[in-house]
Amino acid sequence: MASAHAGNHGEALGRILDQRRLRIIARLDMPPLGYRDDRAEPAGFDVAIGRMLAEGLGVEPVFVETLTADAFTRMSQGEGDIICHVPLGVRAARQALLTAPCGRVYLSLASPGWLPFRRPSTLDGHAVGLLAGGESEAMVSEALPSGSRLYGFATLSGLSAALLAGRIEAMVVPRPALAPLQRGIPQLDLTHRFDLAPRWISIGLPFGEHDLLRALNSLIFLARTQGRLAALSEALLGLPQPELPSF
Amino acid sequence: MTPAAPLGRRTLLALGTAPLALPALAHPPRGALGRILSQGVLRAGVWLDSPPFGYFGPDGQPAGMEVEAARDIARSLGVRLQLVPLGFGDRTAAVSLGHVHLACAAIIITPERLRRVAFAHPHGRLTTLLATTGSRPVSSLAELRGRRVLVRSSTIHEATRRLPAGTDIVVVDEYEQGLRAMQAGDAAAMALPEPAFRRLSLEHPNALLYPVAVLGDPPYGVALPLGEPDLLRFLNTWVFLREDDGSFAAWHERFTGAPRTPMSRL
Repeated sequence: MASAHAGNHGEALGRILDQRRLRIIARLDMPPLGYRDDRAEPAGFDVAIGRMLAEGLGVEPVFVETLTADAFTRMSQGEGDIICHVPLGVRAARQALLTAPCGRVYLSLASPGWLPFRRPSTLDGHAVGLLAGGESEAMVSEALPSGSRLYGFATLSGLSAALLAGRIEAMVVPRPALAPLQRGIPQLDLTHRFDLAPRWISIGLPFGEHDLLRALNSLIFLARTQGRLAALSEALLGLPQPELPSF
Repeated sequence: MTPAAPLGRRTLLALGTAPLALPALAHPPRGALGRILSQGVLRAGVWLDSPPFGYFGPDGQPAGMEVEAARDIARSLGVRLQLVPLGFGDRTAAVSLGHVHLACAAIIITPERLRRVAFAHPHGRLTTLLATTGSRPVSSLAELRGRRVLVRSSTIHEATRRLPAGTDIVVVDEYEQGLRAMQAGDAAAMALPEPAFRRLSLEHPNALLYPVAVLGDPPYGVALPLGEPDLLRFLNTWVFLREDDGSFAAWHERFTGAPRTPMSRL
């Protein structure tokens, strides 16, 4: 039976089950969180979380590739049912419903080997690049001195290119994304300098979809207590998972 | 590739604090959360006769842990704050009748109140002590049978729950009034919140105020109208974040001078 139009509140879960698919908005340009593998298939930690939730709902995952800055807009326009990898924050919370955390990732500052910024205060007067959109901008702005110049980039490739060209002197990225970047631009001798702050990672979904929220929170709870989230974090991010809170 | 123009402090700050301009969304928040965001103002009820939760500071401005919470909720929503002072007995009615969007007024979560309003996850506990003065005519609750215990209307719920039958419970207007009565021998003990006990002890060291027992340690939370699931989820997210980043602990230390016991995160 076909579900009602996607624009009606409170019907997402029914529509997902009827259509037997979960449309997952995710970045696919940031290994190991989300990327395309050798067969151009979505892969990574965020993708694995999305697949796990779809499996729990008994439906097929369909990945909708996006950039961080576009994710909420695309979901609100009906292009996706959920967003993977939403850092928990008040700004995100006023754009979407957020699940309990399914992971934690640190934002880290890295710079070329010849620019050893050892503490946040040393960035005063220097140019720092980060991925635009989301909670990261506010978090980075609070963590770095007011004299640092912050530049936003839509893509990781744009951020890397700017660092290579010397237009920025440091970059802020999720810690797991650093190792692939280091391998991709070895001439920079990209070096981790310090961590800014940890971010709890959750799933975003549209306002009004409380049945779907309850279903996702239950699946996250089960995955957490069964050790699946910890196993994914260890296997795909190389990180031990801290005790995940719930709310 | 030319990088984007510098984000700059002003732009970044504006993203965090300016009123959120909602695009034409297929799923904007409905109900109270939608109205708060679209109107750009949060009407928050506060109780300003209850230091350290809410009171008027030396500058005549509202201050206190719950006032700070209301300010932070408004900041988090990116809207202006309109504080609405409420009397002790008006707090839940103001919420259920829609006079305020929510109340940050140290409202203890009780089954009776849950029938009239919803609560976000609790963000504090209101410890109520039974205290006596230096002469210590009372050393246990059982000794209160047939004796007089003073309460304010705000502590009467916890007091009547734990005190033995036969206790003469008398309501006073102010804790100082109760302290004088105890010193005069007109009452055996008084029930009062822990912050009030600490304040009285500091302000009246010669009274030798002494805690006899903990009458209750119930949780309190932000109250909101029933049937507002989007607002409730936002507030629960806010409670989680502020517990996690230590804001509640910082406000508690700032307004009480004492460390706060973290609330359980389930």
